[in-house]
Amino acid sequence: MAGREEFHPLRLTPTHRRYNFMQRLLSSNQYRVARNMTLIAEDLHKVFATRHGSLTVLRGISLSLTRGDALAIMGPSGSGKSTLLHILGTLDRPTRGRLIVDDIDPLSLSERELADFRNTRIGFIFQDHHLLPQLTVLENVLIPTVVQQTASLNATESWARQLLERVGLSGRLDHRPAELSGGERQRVAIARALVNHPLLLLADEPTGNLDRANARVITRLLLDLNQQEQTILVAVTHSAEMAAAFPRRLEMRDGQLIEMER
Amino acid sequence: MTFRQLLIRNLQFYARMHFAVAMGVAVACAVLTGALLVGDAQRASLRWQADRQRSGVDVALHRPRFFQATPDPQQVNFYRGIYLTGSLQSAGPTNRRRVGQVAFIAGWDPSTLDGEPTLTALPAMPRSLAGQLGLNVGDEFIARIAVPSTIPRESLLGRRDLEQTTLELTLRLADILDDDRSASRWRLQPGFEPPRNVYLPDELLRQRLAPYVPHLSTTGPNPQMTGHNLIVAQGDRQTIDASLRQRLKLIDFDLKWGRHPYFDPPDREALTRSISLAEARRQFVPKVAEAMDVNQDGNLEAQEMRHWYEKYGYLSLESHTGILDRELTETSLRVAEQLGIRASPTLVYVANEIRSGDRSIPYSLVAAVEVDRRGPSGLAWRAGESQLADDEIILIDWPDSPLGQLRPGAPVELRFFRPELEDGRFVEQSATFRFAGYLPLKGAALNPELAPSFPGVTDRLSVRDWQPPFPYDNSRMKPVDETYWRQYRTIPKAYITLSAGRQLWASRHGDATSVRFALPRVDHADEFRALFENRLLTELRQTAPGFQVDDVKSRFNNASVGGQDFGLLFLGFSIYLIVSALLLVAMISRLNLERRAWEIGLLQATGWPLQFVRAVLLMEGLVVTLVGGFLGLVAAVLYAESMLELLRQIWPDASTRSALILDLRMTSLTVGFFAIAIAGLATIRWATTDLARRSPIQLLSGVAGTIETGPNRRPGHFPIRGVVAGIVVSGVILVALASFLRDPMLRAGFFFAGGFAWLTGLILVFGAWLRQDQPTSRLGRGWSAIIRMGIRNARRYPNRSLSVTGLLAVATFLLMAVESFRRQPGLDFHEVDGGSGGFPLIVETSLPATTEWPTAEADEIVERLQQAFQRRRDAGTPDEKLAAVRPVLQQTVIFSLRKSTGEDASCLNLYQARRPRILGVPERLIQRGGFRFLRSLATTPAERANPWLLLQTDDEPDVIPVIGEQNTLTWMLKLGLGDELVVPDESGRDVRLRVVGVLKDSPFQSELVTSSQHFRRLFPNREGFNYHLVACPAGSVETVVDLLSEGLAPYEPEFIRTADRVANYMAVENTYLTTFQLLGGIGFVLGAFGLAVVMLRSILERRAELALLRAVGYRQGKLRILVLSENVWLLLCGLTIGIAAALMSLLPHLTFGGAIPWDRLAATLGLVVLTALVSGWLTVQSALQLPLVSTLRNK
Repeated sequence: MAGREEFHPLRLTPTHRRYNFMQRLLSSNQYRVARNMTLIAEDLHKVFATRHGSLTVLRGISLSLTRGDALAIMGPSGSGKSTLLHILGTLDRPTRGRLIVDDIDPLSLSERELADFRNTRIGFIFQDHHLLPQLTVLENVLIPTVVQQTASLNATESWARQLLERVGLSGRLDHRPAELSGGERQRVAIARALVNHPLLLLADEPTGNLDRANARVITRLLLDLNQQEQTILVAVTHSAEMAAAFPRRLEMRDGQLIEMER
Repeated sequence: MTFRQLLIRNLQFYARMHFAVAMGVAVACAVLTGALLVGDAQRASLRWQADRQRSGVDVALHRPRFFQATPDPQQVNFYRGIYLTGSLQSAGPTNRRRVGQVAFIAGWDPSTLDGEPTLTALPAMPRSLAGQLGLNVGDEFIARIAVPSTIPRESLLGRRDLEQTTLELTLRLADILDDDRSASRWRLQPGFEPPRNVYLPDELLRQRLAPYVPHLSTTGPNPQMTGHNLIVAQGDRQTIDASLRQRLKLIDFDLKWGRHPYFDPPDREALTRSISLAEARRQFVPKVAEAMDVNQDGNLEAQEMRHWYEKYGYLSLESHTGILDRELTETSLRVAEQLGIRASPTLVYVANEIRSGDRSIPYSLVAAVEVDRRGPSGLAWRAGESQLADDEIILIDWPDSPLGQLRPGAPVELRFFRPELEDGRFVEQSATFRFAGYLPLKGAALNPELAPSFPGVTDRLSVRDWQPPFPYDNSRMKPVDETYWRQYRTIPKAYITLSAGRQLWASRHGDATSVRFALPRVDHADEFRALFENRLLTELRQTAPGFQVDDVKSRFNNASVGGQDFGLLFLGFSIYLIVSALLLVAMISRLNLERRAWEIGLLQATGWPLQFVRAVLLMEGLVVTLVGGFLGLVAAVLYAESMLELLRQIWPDASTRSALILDLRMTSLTVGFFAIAIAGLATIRWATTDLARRSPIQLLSGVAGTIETGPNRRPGHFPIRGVVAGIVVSGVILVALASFLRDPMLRAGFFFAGGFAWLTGLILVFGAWLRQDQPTSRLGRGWSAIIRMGIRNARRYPNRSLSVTGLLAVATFLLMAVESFRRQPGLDFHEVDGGSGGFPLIVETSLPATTEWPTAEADEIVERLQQAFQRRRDAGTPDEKLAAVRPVLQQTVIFSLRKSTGEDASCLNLYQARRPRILGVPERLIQRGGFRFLRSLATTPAERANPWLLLQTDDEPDVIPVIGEQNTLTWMLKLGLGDELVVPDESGRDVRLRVVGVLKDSPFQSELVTSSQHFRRLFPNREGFNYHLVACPAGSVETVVDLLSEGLAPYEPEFIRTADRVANYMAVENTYLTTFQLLGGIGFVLGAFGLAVVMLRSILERRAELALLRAVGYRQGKLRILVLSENVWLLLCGLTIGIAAALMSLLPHLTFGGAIPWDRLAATLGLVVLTALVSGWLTVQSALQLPLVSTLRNK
């Protein structure tokens, strides 16, 4: 895709040329269409070494999700919900098990390829919104696109504006995070997570810091956008109200996922 | 959104954080660039100073003796003048101030080359000098000028009395020159003390010098000296050198043709007619005139005279100095051989006595000649059938001779003074010969022209009127001696072979009194002289000994490189400050990044490759570094100026202080800027490295700084006990080894290393304590519990705490331990084997004494004291006073040393000394020994016991053994034991000075020391003693100074206590140490600032925690104590560790009488503690003023 040439610190290095090749390969439409776009987690285990011995957090988690799916995971603190989310988001590696996202085994990718994989296929929403205070609302949303080579600058900005409009913040584009309420900040974080059309949208306690009204708005927004963008939404929450809004719910107990009854 | 926009936003948003980093970079850049600028300033100042001092002079020739030659004025722009040294005294009725080491200049005005108005009113002197003497224009002053002697003063016939060697002028000051004028600052040697130039009227000086240099003076009622001893010129050395050589004449080499009554008659016309015998007796020597009158008719016909001199006449080449230099003699013989003329050298000497058995002849001339009938001496003695052997002597067959009727083979003893004074004293010696025969007083034996003319001897009609410069007792002369003198004049009374004579009477000045040439035809004398002179000068001009023109421009330029590079020194001194600043940069960068850890995690979580994230951070770092670097450059200029001002304030030598001027060089600014930019960027990159290893999850949790407290810490992993034990043991070993070392610097170095080992061990122990996260006791209650809680907080971030504590501990250690290198004369300084060699006093005189002042028996001193007492009209008790003086002087021993001109080689001289001053020590001092030697080339037990004996070695002709002071050799001359320094000798030949011994803490830091014997080889024309070592009881130094200042007043003595002189040299080292400590102190403050930054960061991270404590009822006072206790604890730990380790390294310093300047250290440490406490207090205050609820809410 032709776009305005942007400043790029690694433009001329051989490493960068290899990186571009991988990026083109992974983002080609043919490649996407030819595969069945799903999230498959098989027998995921996670063990932490501590001073008092090893601590098993995940015990053989298996999961299979396709585009449009929305899954809420509940469970008590320390049960391993966030660990699972981090593994699904490739921020952490399982001690054992297999993960396939979009027919790709991200655990086999190099650090550089993995970063690109995350950039194009995964969107994160954290309990603490993690907006960069030095940037405006629009710039915060565009942050994941800065490292992209292929996307057009105008197209991505236009898409970011659309997203912000959809989350109800079209009038706050030039505001700084400090000038927003908690709910607004979280909506910006949602827009940021969707700016690269991710396959997988991962939310870690997205309403944990919000009041009930805002929590409801955010939950609805997440589910709507999930449907509109046909992402796979996985949310970890303590909130039963939020979980109830999800079509599928699982509970993490003793390192395993148990289907919750509706 | 682009990368660039993000970068700008980050820089704007985190401006305050970046500012702190930029300040750290600025400090490092300022210190590094400042150090380089100080070096530039030194070099530029020296260059500037050197250019000003030479005042446009490119080359110069300054000889100890006068000469007449000049370069060709058509080829060279030159000036000739007189340059002599001496002393000044104001001549006012109440003002009798004296100043020594004065240069008297006439005929040359440096203003002419510098384009300044020339001097019109003379005498003139610089304002500083006039100020020292308290003189105003119109005031009278006395100039005492050392006049170069024609006949070497230390030879038998040289004049030595002060009155005969010093010209005293009473003058009225006509002008006072600004010190900035070229005439005021011009000098021949690079140096820093203001030159004491006095410009005299040329004509006046030439008139007054005429009696001292008659051979270069005009005749008539107002004779004037026509020579000069200084030529200065602009242009290249080779052109001027060649031009001067081409114009050298015999007189410039002090050569002359011997006056001959026949070839150089007072009345040439008289020689063409017959003269009466009575007239002939006056013109010739009486007995020679009678011998010429072959027909004995009472008249001397022209034919008779011609016949006599055709047979016995010869021309002789002599020297105005009384003795011919070896090289001149050999060249003359070589030229004569080329011309096919027979030539032969002769050496005529005065024997105090010729004795055989109980009969003797007093004061006789003895000739050493090549005894060969074919040669010009043409001698034939009665038993002379064979060649004269070297142990044989021929006596004149003189009817009244007391030594008549000797049997062949009878022993004949010659008693004579050695040709050169031994350390300023006459030494009589004897030699015994076998009597070979009598030489009839006829023909060739009637040869009065053999002896060169000596004023005071050969010009006297009676032996009783002789006034020779050596001890002479005319009462020993008997009527027969008087008769001989009247009839035969200077006809020698005895002959020995030339080789035997040379063995006895050759000296450094030469080994012949004349070279005689047999003339082919008697009427060709003038043609021969012209031809020979021409050929001889052609030869002599090739080597031109003593006429090597000095390339002043190159010499000053070379000297201006500087002996000690201040830039490197300050770089060394500032290294701690630079490292501290960079550590601070690293620490602040790290803290900043920790604060932004979640941001980095977020970027990674959104798919930013780590390299991109780091690229953003590094680009920010680059901008910050560049900004800091530019700020640092501005600060560097101020810093360099401050350092120069500091040097100007504390440098021990006042004359050097004003010479340091800031000089901004683009090279140093560029090097300093980029070096720190690279170092700063590397530091920031290092700070990002650790964060790069963290996972995004950890970073997102925002606890990157506290990760070290996480569950993976393994305190027992590092073998801390073994390492600490090893370090402490190595420290013990180093200290134990140090106890056996003799060299104090090496010993201090070992103790320093031992102390540093302990420091490392203690820091590691502290680090282990910080990482030990098991609390050993419960908190308890009250203030003590709060303090314990605060101290335990220090363990929360062990790396941060250890960095700060280590920084403070190292700074404390350095500041204190450097004291062990501070120098002062040792307790044994005044011992014979101590630094002073047992000499508490040095006397330097402006006018050289030609006789040594060996002991209290030095009659001259006593005599002058007596005169001084009488002058003061203290005549009532002179004897009593003298009686009191004698016991003091009897315990006083003076060793007189020779001293060359040259450059001050000590660390007080900022110039690079390439021709150091040289001292010549007398044989007595060599045998006495003493002084503290560090190393020597001694191989024999005797040399090891007294390394001074090494100065007597004379194995290689061009090698002179020298002894030097360690600091001078190492730092200024860059020489080690056994190394050689090539310097030109007086005649311009290269000589190798080989270091055979290294002294420690001696007063000989401005010069190299060799034996008097070698000194005379190097500087044959440098006569007299200017440097005197005085050994006297410690309690009587003041009395000795009083007595000698009276007794030696005419020599213009300057008294220096050796302890003061050595302390002055040591003051330079101490100045360096003070500078180091001062810069260390600034580094220390930087460390304290680092501590404050760490505390601020820790408090900010714990705002919520503090707010919680407030919420649960902690009052503000308690919270302050809680936070400050952590701060103070780290501070105290740093200081304690540093002080404890430093005390170990200070043991030798304290053992050898050193003291720790607690006041200065306490002030520095106090400043640090205060800085840390104030900054900690302000930090706590700011944290405690945050609103409670919002702080709790905004965790």
